[in-house]
Amino acid sequence: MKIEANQLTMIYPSGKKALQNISVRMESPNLIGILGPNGAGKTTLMKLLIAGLIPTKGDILLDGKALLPQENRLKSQLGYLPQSFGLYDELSVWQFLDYMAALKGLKGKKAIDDALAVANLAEHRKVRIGALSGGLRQRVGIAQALLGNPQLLILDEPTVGLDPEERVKFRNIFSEMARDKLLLLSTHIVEDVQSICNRVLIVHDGHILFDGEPAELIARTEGHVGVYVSQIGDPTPEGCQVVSKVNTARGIQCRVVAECLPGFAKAAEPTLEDAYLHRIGKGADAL
Amino acid sequence: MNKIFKYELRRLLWNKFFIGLLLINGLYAWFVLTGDIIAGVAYTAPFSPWSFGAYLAKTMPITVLTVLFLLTFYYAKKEKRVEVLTGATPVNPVRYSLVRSGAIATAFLILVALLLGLSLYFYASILDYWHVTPFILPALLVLPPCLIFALGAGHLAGRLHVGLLYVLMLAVLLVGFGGIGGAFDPFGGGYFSVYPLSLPAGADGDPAFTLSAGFLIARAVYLGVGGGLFLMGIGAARKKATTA
Repeated sequence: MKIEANQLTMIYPSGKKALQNISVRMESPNLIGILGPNGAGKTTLMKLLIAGLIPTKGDILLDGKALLPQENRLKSQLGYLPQSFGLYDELSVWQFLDYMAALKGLKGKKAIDDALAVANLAEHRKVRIGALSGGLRQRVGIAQALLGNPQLLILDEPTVGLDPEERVKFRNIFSEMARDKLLLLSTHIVEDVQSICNRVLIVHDGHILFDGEPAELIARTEGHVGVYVSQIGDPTPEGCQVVSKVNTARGIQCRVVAECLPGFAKAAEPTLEDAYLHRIGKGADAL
Repeated sequence: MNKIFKYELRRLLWNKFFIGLLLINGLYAWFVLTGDIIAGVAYTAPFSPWSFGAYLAKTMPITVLTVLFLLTFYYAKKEKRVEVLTGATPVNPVRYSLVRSGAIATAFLILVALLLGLSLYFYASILDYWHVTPFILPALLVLPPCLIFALGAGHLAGRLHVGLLYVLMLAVLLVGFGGIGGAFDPFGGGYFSVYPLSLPAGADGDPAFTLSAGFLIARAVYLGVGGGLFLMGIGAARKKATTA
């Protein structure tokens, strides 16, 4: 499966420019992490890719042909988990998945049982959805996206609300699935992207600021991450963005990213989070 | 789609609101039968087609309100949050909308079955009247236009804004209990109670069940307009699926 977005612009009726002239090409197998602050345009990009929105300008191609006329073909191979969604509280977990499986045209119980097993929901299959905790509801959301082993998975903040153990488990599941599928993962949790994604897109203010391998993004940040010890009341050096502060016996150990590190900061090995903040800090002007 | 229909029906019927509304419909119908219909309308017998038509017409506002209330389930904010999932499936939005309308229509039919059952019990037990055939025509004149118009107007209102469904419910209350009267009464209550007064009495003392052209045209108009609104609502479902 191959999806290409060419010079895509999305302006909402309110006038808000959500995406501006972005182009991106994605093909399976791939696990692509989409990072960006709130309001960057990540969700809009995902909605456009599932034909849930029509772009103001530009076009999207699915396997080389226009997406909209192939909407059904796309949706028959799609597993989608939006950031915010509802479930039918009056149905049990199994019934809801059965309902979604029917909408996806899946027959038999195997697809449901498989999704229940992967999402670790088998013991909750008969529980009414209205009685589930937030984390379990999120797992129902993931389970419905996995129904029928779709070739394209678009997951918007899939690990929100999950405990750390579950998050790691799903991360690994997504990684395994991406061996033969195209998986797009939008998240605020940079660690998730660093752990499993072989490609990262950084979206900010409707632009794609970076598109490449996480290691490449990290490499570009070499020399822009430093640590130093400061005392209470010390101002943050100009041009520095503090990534973390740890209280130690010697004072506050600060980790910063900056285009130009202050002389007293000791260079540190960048992480993907550092690299992300560094790239976001440079903004679209550095494109 | 059978499975979807089964689940939609379950969601609509297997809840406290529907059971409560079923009770209200039943109680109100019994109140109409024993309060108004027992005396007959327009000096006709309580088991005349005129009286039976008036019975159905008087109970329809509550039944239509129930249908509109059930439609609010499909257009509530909570439902829209589920639509982000269902909208990403390859299901045909028009067929999906039709199936869901079918579930609402089934709920309407269950309510109608209750109304008919109560009336038959009333006629048999209180008036010792056992015939059904004279009631078929008034039922056909009252029920389908009410259902189709309610579904059509309700779907379109819901698609525009769920609040409009409540406005529509208020309008049903005003029209249903305020009364328009005449041939264009959407429920027909005013017509069945007044029109027989203008007809000569037949051999059995009741005027024959002959209807004015105006009334028949009005029923056809409600049916047609309701159908048109329904198609517009379904059309909106397709549009939403590609541009929301």
